[in-house]
Amino acid sequence: MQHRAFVTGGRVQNDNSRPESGPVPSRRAFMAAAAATAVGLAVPGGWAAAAAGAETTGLIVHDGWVLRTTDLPRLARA
Amino acid sequence: MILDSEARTDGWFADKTFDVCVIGSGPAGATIAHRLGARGFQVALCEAGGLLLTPDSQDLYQGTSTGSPQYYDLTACRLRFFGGSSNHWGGWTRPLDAYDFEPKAHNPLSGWPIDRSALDIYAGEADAILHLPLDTAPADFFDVHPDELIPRLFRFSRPTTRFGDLYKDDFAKSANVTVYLNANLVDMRLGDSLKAVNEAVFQSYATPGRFSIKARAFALCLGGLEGPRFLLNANSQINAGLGNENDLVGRYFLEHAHAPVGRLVVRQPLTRMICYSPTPEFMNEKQILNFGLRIGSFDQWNRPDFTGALDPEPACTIDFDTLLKAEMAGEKPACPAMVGDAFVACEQLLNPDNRVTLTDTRDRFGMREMNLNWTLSDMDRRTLKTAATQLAQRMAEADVGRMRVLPWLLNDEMPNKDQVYGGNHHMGTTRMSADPKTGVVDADCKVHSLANLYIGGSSVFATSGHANPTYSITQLALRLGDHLTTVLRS
Repeated sequence: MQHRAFVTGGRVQNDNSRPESGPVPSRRAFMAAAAATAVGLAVPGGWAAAAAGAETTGLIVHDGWVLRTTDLPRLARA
Repeated sequence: MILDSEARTDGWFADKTFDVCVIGSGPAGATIAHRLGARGFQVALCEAGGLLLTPDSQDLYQGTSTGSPQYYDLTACRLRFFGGSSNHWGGWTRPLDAYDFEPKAHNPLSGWPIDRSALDIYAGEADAILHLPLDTAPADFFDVHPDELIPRLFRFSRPTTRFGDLYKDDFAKSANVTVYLNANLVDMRLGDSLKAVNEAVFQSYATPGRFSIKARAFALCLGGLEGPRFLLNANSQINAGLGNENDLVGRYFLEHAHAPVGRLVVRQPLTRMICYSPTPEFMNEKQILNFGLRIGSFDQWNRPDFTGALDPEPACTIDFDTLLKAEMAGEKPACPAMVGDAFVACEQLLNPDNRVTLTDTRDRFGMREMNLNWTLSDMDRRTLKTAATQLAQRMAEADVGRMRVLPWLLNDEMPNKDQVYGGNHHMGTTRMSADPKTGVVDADCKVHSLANLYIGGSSVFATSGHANPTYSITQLALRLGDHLTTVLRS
């Protein structure tokens, strides 16, 4: 990795300085999902089929978060 | 002795034949020249730029790129002055893994004609040149090592070795090494049999005309982009260019595909950057390539003085569930040491269409500019996704934390340049192979079809692994220096 910014003629190169980006769930969306899970409904989001390893017993994928099935009810109470 | 080509006179060194002419003063070229000079050989070290960066030199890196994700500006991803791209090197090092040298059925043409032991013998010298700390056990994260992921260590060159700074004084005082600054390589002239190089031809910026340097052997150390560009341009006697009898020069360009892959919340504070790589069995099972999966903090590991340690902070009094819930809601972390980033740099599949070619645009010396085509294969993307999802799964199973994998990975979307980008690691374009039909140089880094032309640098990598290349470049340069010593004494 190169980290030292190189500047010449107005050009700047400094790789790997980009922050992680991507949407994160809103608090409302998260709480709705957590509440739904807490009462036994399916977790919304549609990620489960896409995530490798999601078929592993005891794990679910919620908005990209790979969680234990027991996490959402517990987090809903946190 | 350090000379400026701009100050030359007619017939400059016309009667001298050096033992070796090394072209390019980056990590490979400077190391080879220093090693051979110390052994009493007469070495010409030719650098296209001066001691400092100038626009005249840097602008000669102009070129175009195609493919997706879009590659960097070619004038900004390397440096064209004394010391080469080491002048903006970040200092991250680790050797290639032993299994990087072995062929893999799912990556056709993979495998080197040497194994890692051929480079391991240079580890001590490379450590000293690169100012590296002692090799220690890598940090781990899981209580039990899963069979799939192996903890790996990065060491950091601090103060970061700038090869021009490292050797400039030695070269200035040397009776054996002559440095030619502002010497732009524009041609190589072969003997009548077209089997060996007689002289390298150079041009400077302001002084008209060209000058030649004769040598018994030549080491081309121009970097993974400029090396093939020169070989393709050098067609004054062989139409296809030098070393290109099998249409391989410039092909199989490799980068390390770099990608942020997720965010994570952990139960124990992260005090060091942690890195994992896949086992060979896991790579084979999943049909993926090697990767370095880094856990830590972008903010910290992008600092120029980063040494692997993450800043300590007061103990966090907030419980895990509260931290996780806040992170899932997109809130700013209350305990930064418990919240981090996951990042992958992965090997690429050997792809002949990832390549350097020449365009019809010519630079000020009449050399055709280059186009770089860079794409990601399905296997590259699968490697990134597997690295991320495997870590997330293992973290949850071991209950050491939780991780969010970025949507584009989970949805198998084509990434853009902000999601996947290179590391300015230019490799593979004159790859090493025992067979001239599958590589440009042999196991000694000699161009197959020419008796005395050698190549130093990461363009000879047969595959790239996931390790940042400078450590291996240095090892290979020391090894080439030893080989040339043997050849020149015989």
